[in-house]
Amino acid sequence: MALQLKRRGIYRVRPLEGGYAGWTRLGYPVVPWESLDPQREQPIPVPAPQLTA
Amino acid sequence: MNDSIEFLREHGTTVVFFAVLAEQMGLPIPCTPWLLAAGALARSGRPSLAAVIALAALAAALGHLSWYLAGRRWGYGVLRVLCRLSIEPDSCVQRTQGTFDRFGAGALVAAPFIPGLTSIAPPLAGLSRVPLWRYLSLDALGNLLWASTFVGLGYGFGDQVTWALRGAFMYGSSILGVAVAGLSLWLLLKLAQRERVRRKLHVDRIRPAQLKELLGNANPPLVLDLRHRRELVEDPHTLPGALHVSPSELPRRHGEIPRNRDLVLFCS
Repeated sequence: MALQLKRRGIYRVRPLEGGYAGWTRLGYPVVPWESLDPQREQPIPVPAPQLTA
Repeated sequence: MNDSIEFLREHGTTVVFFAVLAEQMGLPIPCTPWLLAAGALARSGRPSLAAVIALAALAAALGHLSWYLAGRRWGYGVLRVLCRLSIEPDSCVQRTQGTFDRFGAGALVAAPFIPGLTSIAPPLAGLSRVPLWRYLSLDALGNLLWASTFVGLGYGFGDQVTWALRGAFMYGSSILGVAVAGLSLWLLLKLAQRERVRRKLHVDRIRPAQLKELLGNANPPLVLDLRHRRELVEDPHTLPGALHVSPSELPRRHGEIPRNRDLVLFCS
């Protein structure tokens, strides 16, 4: 998937080593996943433009 | 040589049963040659054609059932173990889920004919909570079709198969040598390919500890949870701030992804 995105010009992408299983194995925090509407796509948040001095 | 063929005539059904059971349990023992051979020998009435097909289907069903039950018991862990052998374990899990989503439980009927899917479909059915009776009937249908096809091919091309069988018994060690060399070469190529992909991805991977630290920063990376929705239903938790996007929709929605922000992807 990361390679696919890189081919589409998204270079700042890194897969998490070990995935979800690796994260939980280390005891790192997880939060409940809330599915509001399984059919609805969640919008990908775009960061607000940064103001320059 | 004739002794070997006579042995197969006598114990063909037993040989087929254990060869199929071993292969369907995941051992690297090809059972197709035995199905073809038993089919060819069944032309003379020994072993019985119906018995060979029935026992092959039964053995496949038993092998699959163990994976189905393992899938029900241990969920995605089983799938991850099976996919560990593939070049990209993550995409292997996603790909098999995608196939199952597309064809539903009906994929079980076609699975015995599709290399790779045959060992993945039963645990996937188990973890997807396909009811046991539905699983058993679809799997039985697929197994019967599969066994009938290969035993039938052996029966239909009996002369050619018997000729090949005699050759195999006569030049058994040479043929085995060529087969082992071919298999070793294929394994080496597969390992080299896997290593190449792994190295390419490895430089880009982020360690969990690094991500945990970055998530506490003022400008954290965007974390995308690419796990299958079914997996999230099984364990409804995710990383703090992670956004769930289905892998199938990500290539379509790549335009929405900000190019000026670090992105961390994770799946199972």
